[in-house]
Amino acid sequence: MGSIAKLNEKEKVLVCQELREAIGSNKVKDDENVLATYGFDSSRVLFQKPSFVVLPENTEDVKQVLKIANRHIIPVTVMSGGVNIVGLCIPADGGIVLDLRRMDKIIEINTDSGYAVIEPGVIFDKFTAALAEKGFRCQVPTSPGGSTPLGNYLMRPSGSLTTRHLDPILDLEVVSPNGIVMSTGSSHFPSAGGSMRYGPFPDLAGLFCCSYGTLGVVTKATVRIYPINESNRVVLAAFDSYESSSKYTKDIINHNICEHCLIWSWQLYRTYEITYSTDWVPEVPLELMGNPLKPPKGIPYNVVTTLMSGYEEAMIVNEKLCEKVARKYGGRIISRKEAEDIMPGALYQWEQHYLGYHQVMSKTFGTGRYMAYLVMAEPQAICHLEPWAVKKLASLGVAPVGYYSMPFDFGRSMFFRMFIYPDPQNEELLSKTAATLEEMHQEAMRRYGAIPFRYRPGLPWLKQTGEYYHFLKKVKQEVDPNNVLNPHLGLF
Amino acid sequence: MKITATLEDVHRAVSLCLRCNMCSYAKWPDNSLLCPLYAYDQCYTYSPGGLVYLVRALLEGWIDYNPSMAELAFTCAGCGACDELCKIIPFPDPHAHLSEIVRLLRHQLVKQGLIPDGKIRGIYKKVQEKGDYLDGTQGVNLEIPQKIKDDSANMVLFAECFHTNTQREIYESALRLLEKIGKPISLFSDGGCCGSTLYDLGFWEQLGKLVEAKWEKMKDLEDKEFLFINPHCQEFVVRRYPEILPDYKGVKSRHFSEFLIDAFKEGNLKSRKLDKVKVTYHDPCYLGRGLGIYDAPREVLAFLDGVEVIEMKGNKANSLCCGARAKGNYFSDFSEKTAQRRLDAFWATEADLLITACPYCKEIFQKVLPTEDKGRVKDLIEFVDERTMERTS
Repeated sequence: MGSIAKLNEKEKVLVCQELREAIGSNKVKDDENVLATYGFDSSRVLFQKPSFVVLPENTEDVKQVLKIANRHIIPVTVMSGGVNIVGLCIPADGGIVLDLRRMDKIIEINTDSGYAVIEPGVIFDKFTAALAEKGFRCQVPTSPGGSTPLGNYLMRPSGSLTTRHLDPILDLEVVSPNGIVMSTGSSHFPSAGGSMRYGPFPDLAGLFCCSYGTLGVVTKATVRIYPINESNRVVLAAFDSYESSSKYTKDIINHNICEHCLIWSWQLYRTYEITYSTDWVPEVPLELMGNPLKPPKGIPYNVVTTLMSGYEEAMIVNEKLCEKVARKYGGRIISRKEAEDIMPGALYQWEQHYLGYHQVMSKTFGTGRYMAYLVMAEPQAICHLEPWAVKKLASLGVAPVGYYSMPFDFGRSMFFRMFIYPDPQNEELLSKTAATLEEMHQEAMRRYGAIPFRYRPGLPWLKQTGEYYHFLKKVKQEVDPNNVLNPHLGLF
Repeated sequence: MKITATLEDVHRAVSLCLRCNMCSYAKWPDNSLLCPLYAYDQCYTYSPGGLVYLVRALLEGWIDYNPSMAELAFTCAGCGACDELCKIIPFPDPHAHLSEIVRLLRHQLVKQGLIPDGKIRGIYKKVQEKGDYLDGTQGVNLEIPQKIKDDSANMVLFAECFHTNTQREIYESALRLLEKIGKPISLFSDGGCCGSTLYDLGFWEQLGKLVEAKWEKMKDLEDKEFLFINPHCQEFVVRRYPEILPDYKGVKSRHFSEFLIDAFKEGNLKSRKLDKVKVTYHDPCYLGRGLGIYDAPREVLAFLDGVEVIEMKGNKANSLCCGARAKGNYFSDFSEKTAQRRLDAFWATEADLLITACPYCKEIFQKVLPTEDKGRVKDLIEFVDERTMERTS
């Protein structure tokens, strides 16, 4: 692959002029202050200052920028909303940031077929509000409403409907590194919309999912949307072990009782009381400083949120079935009254998320630097992994240690995500936490047959996959011979 | 946050920003662009989070103070919309809101001698020379009608900085209303600034002295109730004096709109029968977000015969700033464009008049409107004065 050289000051001036002439001067920023704010995020990936921040407004702009980048062999880092906390949007030193936030149009909401066509800068809150007006909804992740569906969906979502509907992507409009624009799904046929992801030809959209902006720039996407049914509700079930919770989720999803379900650890759902508090800066309850494997009396170890939707008559029956299945695995249903009494904050959070399609931003992120552990594995493997992972992360001495876990694709795999908030100014602790998380990823892969959920810059995960990696590397060489798209991520 | 704070004090807080963008958009489910700077130019740097990242870049040594940074920091309108939206940065000590961090950045820039040319530098020079930027001799020109003038009255009209043309008209209307109501009142005015402008502009070195001097005069009136017209003054006295003054004991305060509600309810003020008119109300940032007074102006309008209120898209906490208080030159037409953007919402209501309750809002709206439409913007006090009867007994 081509080698990347850093521009000298004279070259920078020329490239800046070229970019401005191609797409307009207001879309190209080279003010030092702008460049500095794009050089880092809340991860521990080191600061790298780009030469330009480019804010395209349409596909043609993107095409022009990529052509210029390719001509001068300048690395390009793409972001849709830039809400990333693991360093995936940090540019290469001296490179171009291609920030797509101004491409924020909802182009079509097709209520007949059940898809929407959106640009990459559309944020979740705007999207879900527009869909709700038409009686539709989309997968909503546990990330802020200012993040983008495309940024989330292209990195494999873990949103509010993934138990049943794993992948929301149907069709993508992609600009290749040398400026060719193409569609990956059915819209490559002259008169067809984007309702079909693939066939009669290969599934090209898959190539751009979880490739972290290294193979092309997505400028438009057709995504799945779902009707808001007559009746929608969230049933809460309490369990005293992860294994019981896991069995409950698999049972109800395989009996078509729910649309989505999710297991919350007590140290996570209790933090929602902090967010819910009317005090601007509430105290963090002492109980959250204790052993995450032992909740205080009266606090369920896990609560499973069960999202159901359909006709009201079916909901009445399904609620009874939730109760039956919960009992089968030693659990119980938490009444609304009980939830209002002992977990009003969590109840509010869940209802906003599942029934209001809006993620409430948690004040817990203000208690320390958010760091996370995300893996997937088969259900039984996660049952074994859970106590080990909780104990391991708790050994760092940082509290609380919360997690959530959800079945993907009817429970064929389980997603497991842990949260920890170390002191942002304790470098030693941050390093130790990062090292522990990577050690845990490696051990989860070795001992539990788990796979990491998302890539993080600099980690060797792709290279550990053998022939899969070699094949993908050949694809990358073919598609991006000058290696201008995110070369510094260390993926290839 | 105390004015003795340094950027280092907020290092922990700014390093927690997730770049989640929630600081830029109106509260769910409105979701419209609320940060005026970000709405002007959608680039992350120009969002509240972007300014926080700029502070972090400074603290971590990735950028130095520079003139362009000063222009940018002073271009932020200081509307405080982001303060209610971000739940993360204010959480750790010193519990600083985003707009406070921007003011702190301005203070550091001022200390570095990086003060934007034009209006801000002019104010700074006057403050350096006299300790205040307003000419104190003008304060004596506001005369309370003899019928209601009472130096021992329980209510004190806070009339600092009333003497720009826009403010003078509003204060004169206020005095007419007070006369109609028959409320005895005394005046607090020495023609200077309460300190809010110095605070906003980061001139904190001079601020302590000015506020202490002001407080020396005010604390003799601690049993009285201060009646405020300019929400910037009220917000500053109510929220910032306690942070600045060690011996601050608090003052009783009321905004003029709240006072008018009582006057209507008690029958001391009566609406005239006039032609029907459709109006919309623009929530000033410091009255709404700053003091939480959203309903009182609307209640006042409801007392007026023939007045129909139509709400603009984006109101109360989701109200877009008028842009008047942006003083930097990073974007030369930022204030005007921001006012235009708010006026677009006014035009969309098809209302006859735009009512506001802050002299700065009125000033900028009138500035950008064509001559024939300037009269369509009124302060609430002026509007109530026009549509209420003279006192007959």
